[in-house]
Parts: sequence; C-alpha cells; structure tokens
Amino acid sequence: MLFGVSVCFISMVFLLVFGVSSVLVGIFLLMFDISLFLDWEIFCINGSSVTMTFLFDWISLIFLGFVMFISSIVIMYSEGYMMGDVHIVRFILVVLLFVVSIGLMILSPNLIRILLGWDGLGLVSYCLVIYYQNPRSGGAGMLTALSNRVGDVALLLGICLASSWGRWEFLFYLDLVGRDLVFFSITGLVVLAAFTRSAQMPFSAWLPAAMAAPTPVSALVHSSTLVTAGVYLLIRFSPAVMGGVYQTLLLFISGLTMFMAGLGANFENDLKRIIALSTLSQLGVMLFSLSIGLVGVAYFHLLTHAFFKSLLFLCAGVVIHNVRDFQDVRAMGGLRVYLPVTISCFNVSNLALCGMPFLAGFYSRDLILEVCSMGLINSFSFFLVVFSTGLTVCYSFRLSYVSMFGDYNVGSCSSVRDEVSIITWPMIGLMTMAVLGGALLSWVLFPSPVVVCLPLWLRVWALVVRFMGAVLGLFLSMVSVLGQRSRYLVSYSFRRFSGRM
Amino acid sequence: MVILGHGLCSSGLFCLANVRYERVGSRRMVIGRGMLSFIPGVTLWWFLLGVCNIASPPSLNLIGEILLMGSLVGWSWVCIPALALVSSFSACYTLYMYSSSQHGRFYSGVFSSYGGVLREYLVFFLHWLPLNVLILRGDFLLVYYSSL
Repeated sequence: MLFGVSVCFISMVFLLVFGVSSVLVGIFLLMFDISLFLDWEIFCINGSSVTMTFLFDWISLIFLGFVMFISSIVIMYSEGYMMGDVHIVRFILVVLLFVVSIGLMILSPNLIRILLGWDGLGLVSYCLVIYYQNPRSGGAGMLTALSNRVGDVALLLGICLASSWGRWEFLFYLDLVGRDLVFFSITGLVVLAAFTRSAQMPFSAWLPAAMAAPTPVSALVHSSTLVTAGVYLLIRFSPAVMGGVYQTLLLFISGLTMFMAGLGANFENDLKRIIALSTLSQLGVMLFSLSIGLVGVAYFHLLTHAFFKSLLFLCAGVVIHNVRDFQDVRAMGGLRVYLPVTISCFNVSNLALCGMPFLAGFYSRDLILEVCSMGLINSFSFFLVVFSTGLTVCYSFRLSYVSMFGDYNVGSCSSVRDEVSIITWPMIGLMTMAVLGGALLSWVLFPSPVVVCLPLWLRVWALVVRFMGAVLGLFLSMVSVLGQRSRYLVSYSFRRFSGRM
Repeated sequence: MVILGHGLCSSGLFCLANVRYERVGSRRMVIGRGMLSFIPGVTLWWFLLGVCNIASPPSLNLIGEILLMGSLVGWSWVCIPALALVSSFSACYTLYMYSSSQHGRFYSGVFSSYGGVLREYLVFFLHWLPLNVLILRGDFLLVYYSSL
C-alpha cells in the first residue's frame, strides 16, 4: 500500500495506459509505414561504438503494447491471487522489472542492447521461479536459469564475434547473408540463443519445470513474454536465417518439438504442466511457420497465442486455488457446475487453442496449416504439423473432460466458488480478446487476404484430424480417470515414456 | 576494465559475506540458508552484486568481458569453447551461491540475529553504484590506460 492505493492498482493503470497507447502508435506507424530509429552513442572504443539504440516500428510497438496489456491484466489478477501474501509488493516489483526487461529487448536492433534485456529476462525469471521458498522451486529455478544462461553465453559470443564489424546493429549487416563466415557464425549463435529461450528440443526441460512459479507469473512469463522472446529475436533475424542450413535445422527442430510436446501433454497429469507443454507445442508452431518462410504469420500467431494462453493460465490458477491447491487433474472433476465463469473462460481459450473457427487461434493456426498443405514442405514435416494439430485438440479435450465433467473428486470439505470480482474481471477481459483478438489483428496485419488454393479433401483433412483428436481425447480422459482398471488400454511403458518427455 | 569491475564487485560480495557471517555466526552454507526470510534488503544486494559478478548488463564487468572476449576471439577462434565454458561456470557457481544462501527454509538453530543496518546498505550501494554507472563513461578508463 502506498498512500492508500495498492501497488497492483498503480502498476495496472500505468501498464494499461502505456500498452493501449503503444498499440495505437504501432498501428499508426503501420498505416503510414514509418520506422523511428533513435541512436545514442555511449562511447567508442577500438573503433567499435557502443550505442543505446531504440527501434520503434510497428512490429516492436504492437508486441510491446500487447505485452503491457497482458501484464496489466495479470497484475490485477495477482492482487486477488496473491492476497494475504506478505511479500506481494516485492512480487509486483519483480514482475514490473520483468516487463521492463522485455520492453528493452523488444525495442532494440542492437546486439548489446538485446543482451541487456535478454540477461535481464533470464535473471528476473529466475527470481520469479524461486519465489516460493521450497526445494522444488529452487531446483526448477536453477534449471531455468542455467538453460537460459546457455543462450546468454551464445549471445555474448555473438557480440564478441561482431566486434569486428565496428557496430552491433545487426540490421545494417543483413546484406552479408551467405557471404560472410562471421555473420554465418553469429546467426548460428543467435539461433542457439533463441532455441534456449523458446525451449526448443534439446533445451525444452526447463519450461515445464518452471511451472513451480506462482500462477500469475506462469501466465505472464511462460505464455506470452519470456518464451516468445526467442521467437521475436528470430523474427528480427529472419532475413539471415532464411535460405540456408539454419532454416532446415529450424524446421526440423521446431517440428519435432511441437510433436514431442503434444505427445507429452497427453500423458501428463499436472494441470500447469499440461498447459506448459501446450505452450511448448505452440512455440514449435510459431518457429515452424517461421522456418517455412511465413514470418508475418509467425508474428501473428505470437500475438494471438499470448491472449489465449495467458487466459488459460489465469483460469488454471483459479481452479488450483479452489480445489485446495491440487494440481493433479485427476483430483478435479465436475468443476463446470461449481465454477461456471472460470470454466467458460477456460473452454473459450481451449477452443481458441485448438483453432475453433472465428476464435483467436483459428486465423493464425489455420493459415499455417493451409500454407503447409499447399505443398511447400516435405511429407515428413507435413505429417508432423498435421499430427501435432490433432494432438493439440486431443490434450485440450482430455483436459476439459477430466477436469470439468464427471464427479467432483476433491473431497467433501471444500469451498469452490468464483465470485471474487478482482479475479474474474481480468479473465473476462482476456476472454474478450481471445474471442475478438484474432479477427482484429488479422484485419490490421493482413489488409488483403492470403490466397490459398486447395482441393476440398485437403481442406477438410485438417477438420477431420481435429475431430479425431477430440475423440481420442475423450478416450484418453477415460484412461486417466479410470486409471487402474483400464491400464491395458494404453500400454504402461508407452504412457510412462511419453509422460516423461 | 575487468580489474575495476571485479574489484568493486568482489569487494561488495565479501562485505555481504561478512554481514552474513555476523548474523549467523558460521560460514557454512547449510547453516546460513534462507536469509531472504530474515533480511530481504540484504538479499536484494546479494542478487544485484551477484549478477554483476556474472557480467550482467549494465555493469563494468559486462563491458570489460565483451572487450576482453572480443580480443581473445579475434586472436583465435579456438578460444570460443573455453570462453563459453568459463562464462557458464561462473553463472553456475554464482547462482548456486545465491540460492543456497538466500533461498529455502531458514536454519532453526539461529537463535538471535538482527536486520540490516543503514551503514551496511550504504556500503553495498557505494559498491554497486559505480559498477553500474561508470559504464556510461567507460571510454575514459580505457583511453587513460591505452595512453600510458
């Protein structure tokens, strides 16, 4: 409390105002095709100038506005969620530091400036993950910090290599693509950094582990800001990545990540870890679309995904609070009767995630699928993307069936309700954006529709896969609820193997 | 540059270690854990000086490390794996030091202790401030030494 006003309220209003104005300025810059470049030379040594650079264009400003908007909503929510916590002021301040770091990272075309935000993100996320004082969160924080440190070191080495250029604004050197060994190595290091930050295949263990953080942090950090920093960096670097060995590598790794995460989520029983794995598979989708050349669509999916994924985490937080801090989905059940508002939001965001027509995820996800179906990629990658779409629907429906239908499994003595307005209003606000966001953004970002020519069966194929996924999800939910009796339905070793991924 | 940065940073960390020693009465990691619950103010300084130690921006250590590593990499690319390992390991032990001393349940054998006092906070602040502000005029330091 500061002068009788809570720190949450102040930060929420501040972030909301700045977020909305940043989006509006971003749309203005997009309409008139303007980019602003501010450069402040701090000092110049050995012929290299260390500069503080800001790049204001529509990509950075719209993304920054969305980050601020979501963080304002999450901070409002955490006032209710963290109610009674003695250290709530410290918590909110660390979250604000986090937003500042990602802002610094977004607005920068300069490698040293990117490192400023990038290191800040890693360290602040470490603080947030170890917020609860138990050994489990300590271990998860260590895993997170050290995995991300690999990326930091890669970026640092990239900076060292780039010191032979004399400047660290990589945007000026993009015409060296394919001609310069130094630039080639720097691109490799940046791709490595983006892989660690976006938790792609060899570094994917930290993302589910980092769910030890408080739920508002997961909503902010692990859905829309921290993990998307890697995707954003690759969007900025996309001219260098395209058309080379890195593009192939990216296609391969991201396809496998999305497949692995989708499969793992189907056999996971921790509510937050399921959502974390679904984030992982969506990150795979973003990098996949980036690697087949759809940079704009990857950016679009980044923004829509931020909405429905943070909504999903907020709803999961309410559910976890209400079922006496259980996170195991098998302990839930029948929640649709007791938590109507939360479960409606949960369903909306789940459907948006699956790509239900006219919700947020539909516009971006379907565009990626359709362009893939047009035959730009080989059959292996096509199989991966189609199968992962089915798996997404499968785990979303399994989650819904297990937690919302059936009997109430928690125990007789509990109070399940969602009447705390400070928690439900943020969710309703985000739900509005999860419904409308996709359409609004597609009107802004793609003024002319993308032409897709497909035979009917290929178009219907995506829907068929989703339907099959939904049926399989129902089946799997029965497996997890019935447990012991039906363990032969899916062989134990397979389930164990997939659940551990 | 690295000498200056490291001088400020490690001197600050030794101060912190002494503060912890005065509070807990032992240098064992196991006994003095969970200090976040005792004196959160000092934990903040542990964090700030610790991350300066692993060359987090903006600190003199970072700019020194960039220049030094840049010259080494320019000398030979063979240095790259070694530098990467050094940088990762320093992150490992610094984070280990931070988390094992500040995070977790505190040791119940500590019977009497007291919070941070203003003098100590001033010492930490005066270590930290030049470390993060001198980066704005980093070329002064370098130009002086290169003209020697």
